[in-house]
Amino acid sequence: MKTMTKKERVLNALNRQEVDRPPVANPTSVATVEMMDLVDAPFPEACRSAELNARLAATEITEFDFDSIAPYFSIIQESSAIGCDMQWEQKDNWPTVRMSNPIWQSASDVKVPKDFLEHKTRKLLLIRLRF
Amino acid sequence: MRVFEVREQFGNCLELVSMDPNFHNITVGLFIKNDILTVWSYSKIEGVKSRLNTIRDKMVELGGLKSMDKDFKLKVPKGYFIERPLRFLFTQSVEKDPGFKFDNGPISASDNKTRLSFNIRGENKNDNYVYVVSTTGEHERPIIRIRAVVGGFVKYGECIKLNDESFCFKDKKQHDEYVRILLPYARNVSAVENMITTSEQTGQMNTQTLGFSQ
Repeated sequence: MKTMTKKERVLNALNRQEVDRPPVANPTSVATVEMMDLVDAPFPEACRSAELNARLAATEITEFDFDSIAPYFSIIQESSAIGCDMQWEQKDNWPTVRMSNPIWQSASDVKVPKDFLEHKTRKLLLIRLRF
Repeated sequence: MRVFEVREQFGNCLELVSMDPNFHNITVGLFIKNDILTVWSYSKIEGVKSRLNTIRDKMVELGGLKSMDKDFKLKVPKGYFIERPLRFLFTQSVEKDPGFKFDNGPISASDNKTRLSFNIRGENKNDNYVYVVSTTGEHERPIIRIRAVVGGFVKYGECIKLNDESFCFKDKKQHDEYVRILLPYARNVSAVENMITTSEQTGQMNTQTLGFSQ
């Protein structure tokens, strides 16, 4: 069997078709402090800059050779764009939303800001997927 | 260097300090292959080479290890490979102020649970270097705290308990450097265990930390 591309391998496996070898597909992101140093893309900046985020995500291919990767880190971009109080943490920890300081008290308070798609963290998610 | 090259050349990572407070918060690892230790960072920041050698030299100074001619490398003399104190030694060599030195006098530390101070004295007894723990200060039953310290050395130094007040290392040799390093940890094992657990969980993404803090 010819050697497959990473994409072919993962998609074939998901479709229960033949593969040249089992894919090593990682459904979640890999961010280690060592890789942050290697490509000079530390947290929390890598969670706020598309270029740094893409650079760090690329190590999942260049260094670990996964067949598929999750090219985003954490799930706070939307929360940040909505206006939640963020705890950005530092290099060795994930950014989080401060649940002790909610921005909405009830369902009627829920509003999506007009600039939601243009917010830098939200935009980051869109830009970095083009890298 | 690539990740696989580091693993091939330097071996397994024995300990990792996520952020070096004394040099741009770089990540520094201690690797071991056979009996050769390597202090390494993937950072390419200017001055990193000098910083890694400084950490290496601090490990030699505080831990009685042997420096090697090559950058970042040091050798573990026979009997000196005891994992936990080596890991503590590395962490301290990275995190303490570069000018930090151990006091060369008697080995002692205050107890953080009582008003006692612990003193550790070593002596050769029948080809076995025995460390004896004693206290100064007031306490109803100091033996309880002494026993706890001896237990701490058994846990973190892989030492052998000889009785409630004394212990020796596995190779029965003198390791004053390790005793100095371990005493602050050995005196309060439960707090150290909590610290280690907290440290290991930092940065782990799980259902508790998945984007939301309390």
